Amino acid sequence: MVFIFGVNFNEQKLVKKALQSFYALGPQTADRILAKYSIFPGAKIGTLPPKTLTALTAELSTMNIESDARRVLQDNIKRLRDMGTYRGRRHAMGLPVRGQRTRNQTQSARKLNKVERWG
Amino acid sequence: MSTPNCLRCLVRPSAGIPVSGPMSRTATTATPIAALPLTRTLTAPFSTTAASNAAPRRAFQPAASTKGHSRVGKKLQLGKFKKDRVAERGRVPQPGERKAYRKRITLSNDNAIPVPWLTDLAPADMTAAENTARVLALPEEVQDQLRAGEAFKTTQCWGMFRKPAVLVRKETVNLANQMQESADNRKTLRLVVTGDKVAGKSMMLLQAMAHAHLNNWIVINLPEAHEITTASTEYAPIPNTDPVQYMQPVYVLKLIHAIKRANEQVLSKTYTIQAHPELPQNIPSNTPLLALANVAKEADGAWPVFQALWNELTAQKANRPPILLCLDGLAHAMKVSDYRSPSFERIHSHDLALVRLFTDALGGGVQFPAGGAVLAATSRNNAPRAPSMELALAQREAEARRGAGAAGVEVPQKDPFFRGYDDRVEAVLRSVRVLRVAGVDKLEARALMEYWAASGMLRATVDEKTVTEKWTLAGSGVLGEMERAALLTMRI
Amino acid sequence: MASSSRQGLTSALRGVSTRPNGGQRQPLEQQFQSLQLTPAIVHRRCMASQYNGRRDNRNNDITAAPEFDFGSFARKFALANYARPVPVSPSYFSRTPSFNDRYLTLEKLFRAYSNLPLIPAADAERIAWKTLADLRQSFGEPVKATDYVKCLTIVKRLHQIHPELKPDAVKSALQDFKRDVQAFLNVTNPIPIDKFGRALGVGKRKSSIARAFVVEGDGQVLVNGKTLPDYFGRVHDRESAVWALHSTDRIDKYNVWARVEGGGTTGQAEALTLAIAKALLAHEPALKPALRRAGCVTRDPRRVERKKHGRVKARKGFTWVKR
Repeated sequence: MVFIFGVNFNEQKLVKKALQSFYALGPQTADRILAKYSIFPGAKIGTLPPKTLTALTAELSTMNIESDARRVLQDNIKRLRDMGTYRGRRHAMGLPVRGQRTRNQTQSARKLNKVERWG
Repeated sequence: MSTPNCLRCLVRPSAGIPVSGPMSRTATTATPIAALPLTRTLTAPFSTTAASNAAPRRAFQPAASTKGHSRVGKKLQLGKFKKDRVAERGRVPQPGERKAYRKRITLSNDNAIPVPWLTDLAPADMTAAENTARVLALPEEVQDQLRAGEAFKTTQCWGMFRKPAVLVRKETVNLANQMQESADNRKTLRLVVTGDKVAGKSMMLLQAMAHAHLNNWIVINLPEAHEITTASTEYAPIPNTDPVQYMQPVYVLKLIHAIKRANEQVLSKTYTIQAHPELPQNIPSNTPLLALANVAKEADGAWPVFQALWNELTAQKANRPPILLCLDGLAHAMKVSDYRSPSFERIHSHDLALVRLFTDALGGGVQFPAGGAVLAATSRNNAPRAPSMELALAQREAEARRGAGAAGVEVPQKDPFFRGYDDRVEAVLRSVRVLRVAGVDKLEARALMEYWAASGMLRATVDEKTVTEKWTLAGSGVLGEMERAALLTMRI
Repeated sequence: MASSSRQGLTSALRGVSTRPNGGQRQPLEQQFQSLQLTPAIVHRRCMASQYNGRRDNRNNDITAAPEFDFGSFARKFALANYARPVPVSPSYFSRTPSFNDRYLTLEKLFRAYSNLPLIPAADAERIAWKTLADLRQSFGEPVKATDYVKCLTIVKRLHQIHPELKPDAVKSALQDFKRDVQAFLNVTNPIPIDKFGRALGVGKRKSSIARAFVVEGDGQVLVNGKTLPDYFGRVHDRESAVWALHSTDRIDKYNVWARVEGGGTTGQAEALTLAIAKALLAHEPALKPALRRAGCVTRDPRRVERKKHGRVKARKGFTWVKR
């Protein structure tokens, strides 16, 4: 088991997939991080030298991911709410924001849209 | 029109196909298969069902214990719900096991008939023109060396015969002579083998390697260029290089091991001319190169060791054997690789240190002290488009033909409206020779088919008619297609 | 008599007094009536009746209306001398008059010329005779099958008369029994071998068309500029393509340069078989039996059956379950 940015990963896990498991870190960013540290796309966590692991952790800690990214998201929604906009209201009501129909199939909105949005 | 059904699918091994004499006869007499009287037998020379055929057929008898009737086959299910069936799972393969199975090289088949007239390759055999259209076996030690150098490929039919043997064809003699000539003159032959699909390009490399091993050359083989450039192995920038080059430590470690095992004898008799204090293990001068190669134990220090080894091998004043450097799948080494630089730009293949080492040698930047050869083979299966390479090879070929006095040969020029050309590739291929491998002629085809028949793998009389038929079906004797048309017909 | 009472009636209607000579006019009127037949019937039925054209007296004083000059009318239209129409053909009242006529003609000719020398049936010119259906169609009569067979026996027998001695009457009589289109006159154009020694054969199969140039050579094959394995990935197709050469052991004697278009690989390969076989026959016509045994001579006429409405494919029905 290997720690990156406080998360424990299996040694067999691909580095790219491990990076993508962080919130707000997608394939593009993961690719760029791999290139930055000269890690080939098929590399697994277990093969990385400790030096690279620390460097990765350091890199991730400078990035706006996980709780930081979530806070940005929540701030944005909160701003909309405070301004009293329609979008903010829809968020608060847990309804679709961008004009979708509400007759049925609003599961995603009901699950996600709230002022203290998590995902 | 031919039959509506594929006859081949209906052919059974023991169905009255004319085969050569019985196995014992072939084994004891040293006559070639063509001279043997061909008898029409109904039994195959070997068969897994031989025992059952030999035994007198018995009528079906019910089992001794007749109490109770046990149904076989599908059972009627009356209930509405199926019973939970516990799936019997076999052993789950270990990681890498299936890949190893896929990539395994089988070099011998105990069921094949040993060919009595098959002789081993001698060091001078491939350069002799009289050996054209002969099938010669690879000696045991050369087999091991070639296997260590990964010269054999899974797509080749080694596993069908008793021992690996190669057909010496005109191109082989041509290539071996060019190699020998350059070694004699202490020059470096730079040559690209190209040709149609399954025409035998990789086999030409293998034959060149066999020739080199037989003549105590040092052979360095990069078996597949795509392993190096498709971002499937680790890489790291080499410090203090401008522009930045990249090493591939894991691959290089594997390569050093392969070189070591393939050239053990020669490397142990070749000595360093300078000390290498920078290596993890101090190597003084006048140490066998084998010891230098042995220093590489881990991927971390592999690249400096390889570099030291390469510097020693190419040191001008030293007493070195000739060197053969091979690479298969040239197109992959002539494109922008799939690796990314820290600034997220694609790295050109020629910026990978290992590829650059090869391309420098192919482009004429390196002279081997005792001569040798740098060979590359193109591939038609797994090959990305490399327009510059294709153009350069066509140009070199046309120039060679023009130089040989052929009239009306136009040297192809660049398409002015096409942007995909690569100057670095052009520079590398500016002065190489090109060897085009096409179909074999009928004499060579016949020799090969006689070998197949003598091994019991081709169940047909080898005469003018059969040879021509297969030769035509194979598009004027393309070897791989001949195998498909004649040899692999039973493979489903 | 009925005729005299009718005459009286006609005169009364006209308002003319009865005349002693009126009775002679009566058949003329009848004839005039009979002339009102449709042209087809007139053509079919040849009227054979005659009019005794005596002129009537004009010594009466009273004339009510200008008299119709039947005599000049009769002269204008030549009418027969008989009192009522008599058919020309003796079989006029039979079921199949024109057929019977011809049959009788043939029998008469057969009797007349039965002693002329014959040639063997195989040597006689091949003629496509009318079938029973053709005959019924052309005569418009319900000819019986047995009659047809009998008739055709005579026709064939007459046809066997030595052509130099065959009378014209027989020739013209047989003409009615020949089909309009004589398929046996069609001759396939022989495939020439050009100055380069090439023979061009064309073959088709399914929706593929192949043109193959076959020259003497050593067994090289190029299809659309590619070698055989390049063009046909499947070994079976390659074998199909050169099957004509293979089955006759000529694979090392000829080179083939072919263009194929349309259809899929199987169709193209088998179109090539036919094309090469035809071109090969131009070089060696004696191979025809061997090629026919190998199945390389006949064009396979099967095509994809068209899809029908109400069906999924040509014949497959839609799935349905009763209730």
